[in-house]
Amino acid sequence: MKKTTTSAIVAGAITSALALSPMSVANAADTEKCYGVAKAGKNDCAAGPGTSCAGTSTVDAQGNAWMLVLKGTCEKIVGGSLEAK
Amino acid sequence: MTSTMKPLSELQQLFCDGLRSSEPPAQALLEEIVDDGLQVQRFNVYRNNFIVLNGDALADMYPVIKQLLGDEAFRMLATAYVREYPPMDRALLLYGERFAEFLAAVPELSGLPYLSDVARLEYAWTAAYHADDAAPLEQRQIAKLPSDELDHLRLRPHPSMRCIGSVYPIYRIWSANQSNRVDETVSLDEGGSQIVVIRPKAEVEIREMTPGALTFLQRLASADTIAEAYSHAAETEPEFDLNTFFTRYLFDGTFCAL
Repeated sequence: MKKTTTSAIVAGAITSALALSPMSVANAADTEKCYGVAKAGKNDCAAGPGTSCAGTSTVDAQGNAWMLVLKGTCEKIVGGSLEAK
Repeated sequence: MTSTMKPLSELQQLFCDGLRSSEPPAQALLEEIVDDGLQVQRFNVYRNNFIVLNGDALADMYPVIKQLLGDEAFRMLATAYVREYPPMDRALLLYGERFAEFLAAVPELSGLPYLSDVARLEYAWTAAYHADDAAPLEQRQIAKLPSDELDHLRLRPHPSMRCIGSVYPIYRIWSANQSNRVDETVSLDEGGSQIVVIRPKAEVEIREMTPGALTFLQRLASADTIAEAYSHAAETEPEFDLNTFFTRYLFDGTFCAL
């Protein structure tokens, strides 16, 4: 009985989707991925600062790694309880 | 100059250990480097580049986390992460897979319990961006199926799809941090979010879903039939409406061709 009901719900939903969803039109401009524009990845061999000794100007902070200095936007996130899970 | 050469694997291990350490390079390693009086400096330049470049890749992957914590705190965490989880792949496109897990384990960050989930969202964005393409499910493929077979159908979500459920309003936190002008306050009491990250075509989409819709997609992704997934979704959220869901998502590229 429950099985019939579920079948009917599924069939009904798919039928209405067939009737109501906009036709899928493949649009070339829409499917072209802009490689390297949005979030370009980095490779070890990428040219630029850091690949030569220029990178040494950014010296990582050693020794005091856990004396975190929080200066970001996290202070804009308020409320909630730490016990919340 | 040493008289005996170390096996390559041993030398590589020594070098990797040296890169991940914050201590001066080990004597055993220095003996393998040409002694021109500057070998310690030369090794340190290399190591610093290793830490900084991988930290930069992590900053590219997690711009919102960086904004939430501030540059200095992010750099410290990135350095610790690079040492603990150095890249295992030549390409750094997806570097930082375990950052969410790493953040959750930092005791000093326990006051910011949402960070880890925001990191999962950011990783999902980039993973979806680089995921495989797939041809979308089309009306004609479904239309020819007998209607009594539809509930047994197994729909395959697009390979880029990632489902994220959080008890924190991570979508609001993420979107409030998309611009440099962050004057918006987000309250954790707004409640949780159910998010689907997907790239059906060219653009990565972040969709806020109802709990039932998230369950439905998660079950379909683990190869449930439509009927099985629907009963789970209805359990999670009795008001879950399959009509609305399918009308919106069945043919928009959320699912792959049969």
